[in-house]
Order: sequence, then structure tokens, then C-alpha cells
Amino acid sequence: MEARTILLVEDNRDDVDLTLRALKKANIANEVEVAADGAEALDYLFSKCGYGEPKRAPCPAVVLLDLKLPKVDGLEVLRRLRADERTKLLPVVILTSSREERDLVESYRLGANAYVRKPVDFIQFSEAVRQLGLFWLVLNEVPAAYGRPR
Amino acid sequence: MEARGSRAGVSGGAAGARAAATSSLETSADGRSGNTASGVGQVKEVTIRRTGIQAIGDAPWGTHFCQFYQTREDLVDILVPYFAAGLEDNEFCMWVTSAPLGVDEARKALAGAVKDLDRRIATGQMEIIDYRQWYTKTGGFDADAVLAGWVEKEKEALRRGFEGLRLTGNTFWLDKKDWAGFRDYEAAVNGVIGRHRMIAICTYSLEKCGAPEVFDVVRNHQFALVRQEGRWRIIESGEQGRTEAALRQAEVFEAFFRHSVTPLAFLDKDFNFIRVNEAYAEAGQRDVSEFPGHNHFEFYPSDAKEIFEEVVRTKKPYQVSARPFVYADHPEWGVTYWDWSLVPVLDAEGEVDLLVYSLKDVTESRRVEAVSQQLAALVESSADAIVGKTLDGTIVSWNQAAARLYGYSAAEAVGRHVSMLDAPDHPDDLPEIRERIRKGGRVEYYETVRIAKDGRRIDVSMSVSPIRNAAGEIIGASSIARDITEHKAMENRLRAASLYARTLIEASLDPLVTISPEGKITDVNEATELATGVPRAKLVGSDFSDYFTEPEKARAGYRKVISDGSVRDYALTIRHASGRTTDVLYNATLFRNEAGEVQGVFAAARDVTVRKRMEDQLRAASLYARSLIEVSPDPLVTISHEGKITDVNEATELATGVARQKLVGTDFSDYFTEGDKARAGYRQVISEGFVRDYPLTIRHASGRTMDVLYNAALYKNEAGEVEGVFAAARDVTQRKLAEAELTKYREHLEELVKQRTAELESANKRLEAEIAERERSEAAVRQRTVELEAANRELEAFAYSVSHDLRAPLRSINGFSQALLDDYGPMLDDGGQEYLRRVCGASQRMGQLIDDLLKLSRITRVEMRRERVSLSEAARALASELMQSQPDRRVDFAIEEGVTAYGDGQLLRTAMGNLLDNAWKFTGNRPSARIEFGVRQEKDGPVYYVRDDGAGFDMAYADKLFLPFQRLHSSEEFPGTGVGLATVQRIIQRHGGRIWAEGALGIGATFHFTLSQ
Repeated sequence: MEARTILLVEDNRDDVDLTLRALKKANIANEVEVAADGAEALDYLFSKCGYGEPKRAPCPAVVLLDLKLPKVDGLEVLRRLRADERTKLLPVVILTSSREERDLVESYRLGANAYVRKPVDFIQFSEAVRQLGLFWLVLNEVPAAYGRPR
Repeated sequence: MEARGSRAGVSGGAAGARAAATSSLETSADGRSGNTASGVGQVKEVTIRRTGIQAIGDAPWGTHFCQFYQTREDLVDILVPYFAAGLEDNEFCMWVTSAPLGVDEARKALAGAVKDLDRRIATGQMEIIDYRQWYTKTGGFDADAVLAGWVEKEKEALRRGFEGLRLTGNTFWLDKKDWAGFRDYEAAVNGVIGRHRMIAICTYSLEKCGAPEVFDVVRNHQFALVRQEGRWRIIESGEQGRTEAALRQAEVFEAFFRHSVTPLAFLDKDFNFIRVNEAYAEAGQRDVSEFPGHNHFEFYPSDAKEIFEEVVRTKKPYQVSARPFVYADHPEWGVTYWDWSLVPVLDAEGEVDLLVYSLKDVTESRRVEAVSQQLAALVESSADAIVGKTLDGTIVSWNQAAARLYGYSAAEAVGRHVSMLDAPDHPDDLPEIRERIRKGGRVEYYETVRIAKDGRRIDVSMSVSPIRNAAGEIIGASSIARDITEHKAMENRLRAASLYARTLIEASLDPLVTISPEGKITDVNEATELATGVPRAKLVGSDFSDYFTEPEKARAGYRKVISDGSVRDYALTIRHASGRTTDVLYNATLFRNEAGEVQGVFAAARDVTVRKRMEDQLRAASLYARSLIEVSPDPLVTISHEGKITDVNEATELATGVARQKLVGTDFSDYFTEGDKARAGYRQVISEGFVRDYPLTIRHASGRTMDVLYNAALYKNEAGEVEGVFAAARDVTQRKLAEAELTKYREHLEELVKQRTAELESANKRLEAEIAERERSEAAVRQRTVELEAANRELEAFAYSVSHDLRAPLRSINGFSQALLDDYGPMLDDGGQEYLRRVCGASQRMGQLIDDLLKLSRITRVEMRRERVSLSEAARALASELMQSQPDRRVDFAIEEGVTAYGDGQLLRTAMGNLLDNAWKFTGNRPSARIEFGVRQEKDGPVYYVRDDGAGFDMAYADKLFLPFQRLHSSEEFPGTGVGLATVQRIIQRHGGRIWAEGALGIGATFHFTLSQ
């Protein structure tokens, strides 16, 4: 079985590198695509994903989505993903610095699958990323027709 | 309107027409038709046939002759050359044989002359058959069938391309008794053959013919062949006949033309009249002789000329229908309408020789048609449903009203049976009526019920009359139905109303009775039965006066009704069968029928027994009132219109010192000091109906006076008429004295009121100023609130930014330091590694600081929801969490039961959490510790406290405890950011409370707080 991709939506270059490092340290070798803003993320996902459609490229196994993003912010990205038939069921994990109650509520209201706060401490951060990868790439199952490569 | 006519060919009859047109007879050589393009008297096509018989030579189509023979050789002699010529000339030949020459002999004889006879028979040009297969094919001789057979054969011959039919028939089979019928047949054959491409020889045996028969035969044939002196000769008897026939034909034409009621005219190709008939001349009110030589359009100019020219050009007949025409010389005749045809007759060269013009005046029939259309429109527009049907009930016409009434459209109804309208409960209506109609009768205005398409029942009034054809035979019926559903409903309402009236009568408590002109009771209600004690059945028919105590008075009342028309309140007493009596007042009136004739008297009695009793009571009441009047201390008086006293009470006697008898009848104004004023008061009562508190002074006979106030009003009798004035006086002498006293006090009072008012006004002004001041400060508060809200929003934005943006670089610092340590640690010495660890630690602390700072700001920002909160419960839960977090510590929690507070549950739990955390933390280096929570009541309300026996603090720094990021201990000693107590203080302050701390280093600390209630 081909290893599935992760889409990391993150504008902060440092955070991208740290996240990639954390994944690597956790021995998660899956390909990671990076989108630096919300618009790029949407373009990528709408071109890849399609529930029930025989698709050209596999849809990511999970999207790690930051909230504070240039152009189209994270919540808006989530809203559009959920409104579109192609990405309605795509697993999306909010990965953000914010622990504001209203961000949490709004994310879940829009259909986020999980909400993870980035700890300042890299060791904790690495642990968080490791667990995320393990869960979404290994343990979690998605509908067969959805995006698993055939 | 002009209908273009058919262009049917008119080949035949042209010759006759020409003959009639010119009035000159030209006997044509052929005298027969069959030639399609014949001109007048000319034979264009070859119609002459070789007969093959020497004695005859050639003869045209249509020739019918006979041969008298004796032997079979005679027959062969004539018939063999006859058929040989026919076969040679491409004619279809038919030989019907009979004795003495059979089919085989005939064939043999003919074969001798015609070499290829067999082939011709085979190809069907020649038929030789026995008479039984032709004349008596159907058993006996049928002249019409045989004749039709010949014509059929000719048609077939022509169809197959032969020139015509050549035939012979033998009559040897014929018996004498059949002769007459056959003779008629021959006469008919003569007529038929003349019009066809046929040549016929009929052979007759002389042995079988007597003289009359020979004569008949000869008369019916154009030629007769007989054998005389060894050779065949022709007896030409027919020529004479033909000439006569032609003459007769011309006469018929002439008669027809002259006397025809159809206007006819012959025109030349330039439309000049050649000849017109009487009918034609008459139509234009001219004489026949006026026409020849004149042009048609000279007399009758019209746009029809184009059509005429077209007929000449195309040589084809033309017909028009109902073409309008106005006589130029008789415009007063108005527009007339004509059907006409114009038929060209061609000459030998095929050019138009003349035109036959025949007309029909349809002006009148058009008018009739218009009238009948109007009638149809009337029927159609009738508001009544008009339905036409055949005798067996099939609907043939259906007007719009029928469609409206019954709901079926004409298209739906026509063709169906009228029984579709039958109501199930009125099934027999129509057959009866149909029977009557069949006999020519009418049925008028019978009421029945019909069923509409939607199932609705319709009450209708129907009239049915027969429809007759032109011959007067009844062929159907026409029914006119009017919807009387509404009318029926009205009748029902009337019936209901009548029932209602009767019910009212019965329900009346007054005895009601009708009496005949003879004085007998005709009807009563229940109340009458009750009043008399006599049942209705006995009352009706008896004399009404029997039931009164004074029968004569009753009869007198009755007579008065008869003479005056009515009586009112006529007093009588009804005697009950039991002897008890009832006083009644009668109202009675005549009642009449619809025609206005008097039917009797209607009388209604009212029981006045009760009223009489009431009158007695009234009298008693009146006495009572009188006594009240007498005992009144106020002088009371009634005064007549004239101002005279009519009645007084005792008080009046006392006030005036005059006896009652003397007072009554005297002028009332005499008893006052101011008589004029008294009279003015009286007039005021008359004009306004009353006076109140009218001041007067009564003068006593002794000279002493009495001040009084008068109330007076008009008084009326039962009929509402003014009887006079009722006046009541009140002695106010004492009151006047009291008033004078009062006036004095009043003046002083006003003084007091003025003073008090001034005081109140100044107080009011102060109040207004206060209100204005308060409004100003409220506005300031509102302004401040707006500012604070704006600041709050800014703070929130700031906090959000801090939360997200400030932590990101920290994460980078921490993360890359860690990465450096991981990847390049071995390349650094211990010092370098230590520095990096410090960088990591510092960034972690800063992250913690940011989180705490955000928490603190959140405390200030969240909205408060106040409720009753159990602080004891919160404390217990928090304590148990703490104990679980460090199970090896020995801490004794003393939590007071049932401590509650009114405030935001979330915030209060946070405050309690921070205080207990604090206590837990600062007792951390004690082997065992005690933490207390409780409340005590003080005069300003409850004071809550959390106490520990931990590290404590120096009271000198007590004011710094609650400032954020202020710490009294090092991080190494006790971890923390210094935000916890600041958070607690914020929460307490938001609850309108206060927090303070007591403590001593090494002894412990106690935090006290209050909450506003």
C-alpha cells in the first residue's frame, strides 16, 4: 500500500521545519505537502480529492490546519472544505497556537476532527506531532471510496 | 359572397340548347348523342358503322333494327356478314342464339366468313351464347335487367378498347303471352340504344308473329329487314317516327324555355342577348322583345363581366351562389342575391358559339335563412334551457342556457338520451309526457326535478311541445325548462315562516281567537283554552260571547269591530268553566283574505287581572307618598299653569301661617318677600324644566321671614302632559349664619396656602436641579461605558494576538535550541550545552507567562452569570484533585459544610482553585499540613477564608501579593509566575468583593474575601 500524504497548512517557515522535524523524529516517513496559505491549501485539496470519484492523485490522509493564515484564514478554509462534496469528509486537525475558547468552539462547529494546541516546548510539540501522525496515518480509518489509493 | 361553381362538363345537351336558342330546328343527321365534341348538326367523329348487310349499307351508332326470318338460312344470311363487319371494324360482338340456330351452328356458320374467329372468341371480342344465358338468366324475362346488361356490355367493350357493341338477339324463345312485356322492352331498347355506341338486330320468326306483332316490331325499330322476292329489303317506317320525335323534342324545349320559372337567357360571345324567356324578362321588369340585340351589361351593369369574360376565355361553365346584385335602373329594389350559372356552348371549331345563362333569385331564401338564424340565436340566448329531442328521447339540440343549467356542454349532450337528466325519484315523468307529445299535445309548467352533470338536483318548471317536420308529422319534442330551485326554496321558507307564525300564536300567553262574520269561533290558541277551561275542539264553532260574564257587551264589541274595523282595550271579563273570572282588555281587528274580503275578526285579549291589582297597589302607594309629603319638614307646594297653588303640605302651612284651604287657589308669589323673583323662578322652571337652590324668602303671616332655597321641577301626568310645577323649599336661615362664619376663616386659610405653595416651589426647583445633575452624570457614565467597551475590545484583540503571535517565535527559539542540542550537542562543550538548555528553559517560562497573562485577561473579559454556588463543594472537589496529583503528601483539608455564595460559578471555582493551589504549593515543604476553608459572619456580611500553615509571608509585602508577576518567593523555592493571586483578586473585585491576606513567615497565611450579596 502506498504511503499516504499529509497536508500541512502553515505560513510560518519555522513551524513548518519544526513540524517536519518532529514527524521525522517520530519515524513518520509519509510525504508531507505544505501549503503556505489558505488559498493554496484549497486549490491543492480540490484538485486532489473527490469522494466517490476515481481520482488522479490520492487525497491526503489528514490536513494539519493552522488558524492564522494569510489570504484565506484557517476557519474559512475549514468552512469551504466542509461545504464541498469533494472534501466534506476529509479529516482536518486544527494545529494552532491559540487556546481561545471562541476558536475552539468555532472549529468544532465547522466540523474540525480535532483541535491541538502547539506547545512552546519542542519536546512536547514533538510528542504531539508524533501522536497525531500515529493516530491519523495509522490508526484512523476513512471510507474506502473516499481517497484510499486503489 | 360568391361560391365558385363546379366546372362539371356539359358535353351533352348543347345541341338542344342551340336549337332552343335559335328557335330553329336543325335535325341532326345522327340525332343521337355520344359524340363529345359535336357542334350543331355536324358529325365530327366517325360514327357511321358498316352494317355488313347489303340492303342497309352503313348505319350510325345507335341503330336498332329487326329482321324477320323464316329459315335458319335467313338468319345466317344476315347475321354472318353483320358480325364479320363488326369484328373487322374492332367492335365487340355478342350473338344471343335461339332455335332454330344453336350456338354451335352459329359459330360454324360465322367461322366460314371469319378466318380467325377462334382467336377472336379467345380474346373476348366475340361472344356467342344461348338465350337462356342472357334473356332468361334469372329464370324468367326481366326487361330492366337485360337492358342494364346491354349497357354494361357496351361499357366493358369501350373500356377494353373496342369501338362499341354490336349485338343480336333472337326472340324465338318468346311465348305469345309474354309478347306485350317484350314489346315494351323493345321500346325501351330503342330509347336506350339511341344514346349508346351500340348497333342491334333483333330477329323475329315470321312463323311466330301475327300481323299485330309484326306491326309492333316495326314500330319499335328504325329499320325492319324482310325477305321479299328472294332478296332482303328495308321497311323504313322509322324515319317518319324520328322526325316526329325531333319535332316533339323541339316543342318540349320551346315550352320549357318559354314557361320555365327559371330565368334563362342566351347570349352571344360578346354577351349580347340572343333570346330570353319570360321569367328572365320579368325579373328586370322588361318585356321579352326588348332584349335581342342589346348587351347584357348595358341592361345590367355589374362586376360579373369579368366572370363572363373568363367563361369565354376558358370555355368552361361557371356557377355562383348568392351573388349580390343591385339593379342600376332600380336602386330602390336594394341588394338582391342570385345563384346563377353561365355555360358556354361550342361550335364545330370548338369556339364559343353562345352562352346559356340561367339564374335563381335567392334574395328571399336568404332572408328566410337570416330569420331562422335569428330564431336560432333567440333560442340560444334564452335564459331558459331549451332542449330539442327526437321522439325516442335522443337529444338533438341544446342551447347555452341548457349548458348553464345542467352543466353539460352542447357537444356532450347532443346524441345522448334525455334520461341522463332524470332524477331517480322522478323516474316516470318523461315517458308520460313523451306519450302526450307523440299525440300532438303540449305539456306546460309541470314541476319536476332534474339532475345536473355535477349531481346537483335542480327544481325545474318544464314546458314541452312537439316538433313537426314540414309535412306536419311529429318528429320530436322541444322542452323549455326554468330553474325554480330558488323559487322552491322561497316556498319552503314561506312554509317555515307560516309555521313559525303559528308557533308564535300558540306560544302567546294572551288568549287569541278568530271569529267568523256570524260570531262563531273559528280558531283559538292554547291561551284561550286555559282562560276558558274549554278544549279547542269545543270552542271552535261555538258562539264567542258565551265565554264572557257580559255576553251582550262582548257582542257590542264585536259589532264595533265590524263597523270601525278595530277596537282597542275593550274591557271584558272571561268566565272560566270553573267559575273563576279573568279581567281582560281586547284588541280586535278585521281580517281579510288576499282578495280583501272580510273573513272575520281577530281578537287578542290581555289578562288585566294583574294590572288591576297593580293599580290597587299604586293607589296604596300614592297614599303612602302623601303621608310622606305631609310629614316632610320642608314646605312643599304644587302650582298650576296659571301660577295658582294647587296643593300644599303641613310645613307650608307652618311657614306661611296660612291654612291649607286658604292657600290652595291663591297666587303662590304672594307668600314671598320678592314676588317678582318668585315668578321669575317659576318661569325658569317652565322653560328649563327645573330650578335648583333658587333663593327666596318666605314671609310668615306674622311678618317674620324665612330664607329658603327652592328646588322645583315640572310634573307630568301619565300621558306625559305637563300638569304644573312641584316646588320644595328648604329653610336655610341657620345655614346662612354658618356661611358668614366660614367666610372669615376662609380668608385666613388662603394666606396659609400661599405661604406653603412658595415653600413647595423652592423645594421643587432644588429637585429639578438634582435631576439635571443626575442626568449629566448618567450621560458621563454612558460615555465611560462606551469607552470601556472599546478598550475591552482592544484588549481582547491584543490578547488574541499575544496568544497566537507571541508564542510562535518562542516555539522557534525552543525548538531550534532543542534541535541544536540534539543534532550538534556532541560538538559543544558542557558550557555550550548548558546555555542552550537555559535558552530552552527561558522560552518555556515565557510561554507559561504568556498563558497566565491570557488567563488573567480572560477573567476580566468573560461575561458574568450569577447563580447560587456551593463553595464547599468546589473546595472538596479541588482538594481531592490536589491530593490525587501528589498522593504521597500528607495534607489535612478542613472544609466547612454548606458554604454558598451568589456569583459566577466558573469564576468562583477558578478563584477557589487558585487559593487552594496556593495553599497546597506553599505547604509543599512541610511533612504534614493543614488547609482550611470556611466562612464567618461579620456585620457587613459573610467573610470567606482559606488558611494554611505553610511558608507564609512577611506582612510588610502584603500589598504586593495581589499584583501580577509579583512573587515573594524564588521560582526555585516555589514555582509560579505570580499571576494566581492577581487572578483571584480580579474575580473577587468583579463580584464587588474585597480580598486581603494575613500571614507570618514560616507560620502560614490566611486569605479572606467577601462577595457582594
